[in-house]
Amino acid sequence: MAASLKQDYAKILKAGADLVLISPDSLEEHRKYALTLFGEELPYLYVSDSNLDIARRYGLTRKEEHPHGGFYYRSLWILNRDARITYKSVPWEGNAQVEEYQKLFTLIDSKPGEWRSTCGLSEPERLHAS
Amino acid sequence: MIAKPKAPRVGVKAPEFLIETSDGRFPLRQLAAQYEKLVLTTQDSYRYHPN
Repeated sequence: MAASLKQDYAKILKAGADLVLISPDSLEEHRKYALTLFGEELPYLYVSDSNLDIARRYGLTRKEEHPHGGFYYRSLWILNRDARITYKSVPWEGNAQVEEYQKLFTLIDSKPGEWRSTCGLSEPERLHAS
Repeated sequence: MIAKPKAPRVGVKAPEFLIETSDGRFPLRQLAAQYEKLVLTTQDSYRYHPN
């Protein structure tokens, strides 16, 4: 997902939108991940939800642990200028289904994104990342 | 007993939090006002989901 969003971030900006990624990782972990896998920081905005406060208020905590680990839902939210929610998808399967990924671009009136099913990583890189 | 907060519905204001940008720290509503649309996406830790 990070590789897809990194690649398509310019399209999001061109559509007059911006992107904020939220995860329980610290800012330092997020930076380290980006530098390890991409050799540079990821361009979009990042918010660390290490205390899960956002997860609780947005209903993002899973009742049961994901098979790969973790209790945090992947989700997609679109807000208008008044910060009103115009669309939400919880859980969002944008990492696994290209149609779901493209919804993001349809909803912001952008050209389609270029989804990457494996984050653009080779097998050794993915093993290293995990 | 404390009730579990409900997930926000479409049409309501998004719950507030702060966002660090290169220009400083802004409340979500202030950042949203700068854009036609603001996309929020969430994911679990990279240690579980590196893609």
